Amino acid sequence: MEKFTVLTGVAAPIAMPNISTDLIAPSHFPGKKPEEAIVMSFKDKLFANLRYFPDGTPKPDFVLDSPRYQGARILLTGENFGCGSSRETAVWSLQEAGIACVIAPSFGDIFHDNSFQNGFLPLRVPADDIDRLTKGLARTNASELTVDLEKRELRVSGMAPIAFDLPDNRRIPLMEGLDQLRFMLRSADDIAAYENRASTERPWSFAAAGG
Amino acid sequence: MAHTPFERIWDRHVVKDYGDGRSLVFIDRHFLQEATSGRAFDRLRAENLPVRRPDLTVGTIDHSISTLPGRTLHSFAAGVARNVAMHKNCADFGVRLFSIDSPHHGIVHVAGPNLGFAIPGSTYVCGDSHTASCGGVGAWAWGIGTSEVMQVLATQSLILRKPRTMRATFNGRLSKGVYAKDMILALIGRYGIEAGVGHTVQYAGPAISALSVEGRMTVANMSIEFGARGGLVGADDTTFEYLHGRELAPKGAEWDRAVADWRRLYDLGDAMFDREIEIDCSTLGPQVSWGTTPQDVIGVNETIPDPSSIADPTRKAMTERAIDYVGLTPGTPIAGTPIDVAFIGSCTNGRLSDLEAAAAIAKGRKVAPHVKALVVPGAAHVKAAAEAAGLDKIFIEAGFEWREAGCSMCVAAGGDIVPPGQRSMSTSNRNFEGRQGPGSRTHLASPAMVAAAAIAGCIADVRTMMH
Ligand code: SF4
Repeated sequence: MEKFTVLTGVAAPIAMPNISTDLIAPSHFPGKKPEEAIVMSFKDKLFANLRYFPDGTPKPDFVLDSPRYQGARILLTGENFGCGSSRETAVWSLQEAGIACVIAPSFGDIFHDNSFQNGFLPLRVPADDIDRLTKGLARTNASELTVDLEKRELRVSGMAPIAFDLPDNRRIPLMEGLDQLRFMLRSADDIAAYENRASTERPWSFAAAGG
Repeated sequence: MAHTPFERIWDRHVVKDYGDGRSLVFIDRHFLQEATSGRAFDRLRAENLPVRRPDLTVGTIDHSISTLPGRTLHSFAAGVARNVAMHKNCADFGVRLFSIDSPHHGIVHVAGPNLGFAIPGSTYVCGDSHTASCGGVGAWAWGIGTSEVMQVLATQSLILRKPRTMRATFNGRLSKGVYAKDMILALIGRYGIEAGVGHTVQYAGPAISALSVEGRMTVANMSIEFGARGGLVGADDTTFEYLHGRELAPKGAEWDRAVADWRRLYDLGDAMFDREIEIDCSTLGPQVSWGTTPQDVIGVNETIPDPSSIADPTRKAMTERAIDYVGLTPGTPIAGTPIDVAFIGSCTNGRLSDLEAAAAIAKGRKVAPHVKALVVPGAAHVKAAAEAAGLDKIFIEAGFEWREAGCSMCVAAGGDIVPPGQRSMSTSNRNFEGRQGPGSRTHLASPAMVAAAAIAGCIADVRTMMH
């Protein structure tokens, strides 16, 4: 996994709460047949129902399609981002489109976990701070925001830095690019010991799949 | 503080405490489905790792299949690659697969409890958010992402942070025409879609105890719409009667030991929960969703909310956007809204008791001519039992299509899709924008309410159609 330490990039505002993983990574594409949609790249399907009318014509006002936000790396959005379905394609779609961090007041639980699994940062920031950042960005011409994991702060030129909280057990694996499977496999002996003990205590819990 | 059942389950599954608030937790049961496991198997191959516990792992195929009569794995073109890969993956890694020709086939969360694969007190996962359904039998069940599916395959464990506990008590008794679906819709409508975040919910109270295991699964199913990853119902005699003798449930002396253990595990005593909420069921009428999140719920005799009466600017804007998307008029009654599609099925409401409730309304009546109405049993065993009881004939005579098991129109899967702008009355669990197809408009309700709407041609109070 790539290391995530300091990210500077264009930050695009999508001021909408409750953006579900269905909306982020729809299984269908407006105006296309399922068999056409399934072979499309995740990137092309990102936010398709916000981006296109049901017949497949593009909506004129979708933020990521405006020239100002080309190449966006960061999204600023509303509460409960990534609620709903467990589909990890929601994270992969954002990543394929070049986005590495979503800043929101709160996140759907499974999306939040899936993000860290992929070295993607779902950053919880109070709504007031997001508001200040959005206003600060609207003032600058560059649209750029810096997410600094080392200093735990967000920076926009012309504004005082805004500190954020991110626990070390989330921050350090991101900064080191540490893969969770590798880490878990180090506990293989503990798992074997557990299996021995538990299969005596709760034999009915084991050998479930039958013949 | 006395331990809650959930905390007891947690304690007995911790393999290792990493000391930073996270623990390695052992997984007793892992059910795979084709849509979220492909990349997980790819990674195992790339790492040259086996499935650690094929004896605790099973699979099925539910999302990527057609539900048309006579379907094969190849009938729905967009799903073929996944379906074929699922067969190969399970064969290569020694995982038992309940494919579409198996009598145990079905939507993963309908199949799991029916097999007796979900048991009380177990840790139970699947790469699908509605895994929480299995909480209806007292399993601690939750949905995971594909990276986690891969980690469970490789290590039979997951790194977790202990959720907080919450008890949602349902008091009173349900009146006629009101069902488990109305209970959970009302809870989400009252407390909101984020109320459960970070918690494992225990559903309790007399109205829960009175539910069948199938009804309990309907409630637990929508834990995720409540914001919680998992929610469970205490195992009791109803649960044990349901599970006894099932294909993969414990047998003989082990069954007796298990039941004794489960009774202790679910003895509530004076357990203290981090949060307590309650809801009175005795005054509850049939519920229906009007908007684009599962908290946008009203009683069938209420009116569409009026954004101009909402002070909070965010909520006001959300309500405006939702009303615009669903194409309704603020302040008007929801009953009488014409529908185009009626869908009865899904892991929320695709079980036998759901089809029975819908058939009781459909019997001797006709679906309105402009409505496309579908009944999709949640699993092969549901279909077989319904046919044995003659429910298929009731539905077909009324003008419903009678399908094979699968996810179908719940998520616009397998070729069943609500066309843009059309309005669907659905027994599923999500009314998000685009969920049943781009531009689709979804109203969530109980199976009886959906049957009533199919007949009336519009959203209608099912109680007016009951004898
Ligand atoms: S029926 Fe719907 S909610 Fe249930 S598993 Fe299938 S797609 Fe998901």
